[in-house]
Amino acid sequence: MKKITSHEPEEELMSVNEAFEDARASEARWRVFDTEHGLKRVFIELPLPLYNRLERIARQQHRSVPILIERVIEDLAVTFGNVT
Amino acid sequence: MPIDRVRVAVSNTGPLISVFQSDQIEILQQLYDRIEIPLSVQTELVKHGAEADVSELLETGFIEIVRLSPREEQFAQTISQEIANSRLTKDKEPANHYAEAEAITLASRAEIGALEILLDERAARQIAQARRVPLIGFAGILIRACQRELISPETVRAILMRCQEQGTHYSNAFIIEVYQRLMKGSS
Repeated sequence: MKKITSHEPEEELMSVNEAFEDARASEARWRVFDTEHGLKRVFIELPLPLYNRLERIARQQHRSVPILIERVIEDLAVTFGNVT
Repeated sequence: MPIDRVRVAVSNTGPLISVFQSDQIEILQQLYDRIEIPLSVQTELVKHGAEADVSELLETGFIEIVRLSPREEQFAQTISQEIANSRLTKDKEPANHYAEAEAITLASRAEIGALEILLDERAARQIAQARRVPLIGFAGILIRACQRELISPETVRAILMRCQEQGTHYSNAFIIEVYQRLMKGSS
């Protein structure tokens, strides 16, 4: 297990109600963001070896994996869009 | 990805420590495209032993360090004093609240485009809310991820327990209630 010490363990954290309210308000904020920007978020599962390869490529390009995948999908859409 | 539709949040030290302690950076990466942190938060993360994790995420661009302007630093000093004065903190030394004050200041900067700040400590949350800075704590992030079916209620419970084992102040009652409410919500 990693040795990362806790931050301000003596400080009081939020209640359960506050945690659920955080989640509700955050989800609402990001829904508005998605609507305003015309976005639809997708969740994909990748086999770990493939994910690790993508992560290495993304790191070389100073990008995160989601941004790399979005670029590839955009290129695919252009390619297939031209074919059909 | 055009810059205007990148999902950006600012983070204080605590939520990132919990993410690193529980090895759950993927959850954060499914909800956000980039996390901005002020210099003082990076310093605290390194002090807590998270240097390797931070370096890796800086390399991929998922985490970015932002320096405050002298004017913003002044503003952060005021906020750290306000946090220290809060009855919700036992630590009355403003300097010990400077990192969260810098994070709140950064989240208020419009050009950053952050929709929320990741913030756990109650006193700092109270000050952020008074200044109308939208926020979410680590537990809230887990709940949201669970409600989006990215993780199960069992995983949320396991993550909170792992953070608790490593010293983060989640009570057993807190963990059980979060788990039960998520189970109820998913049934």
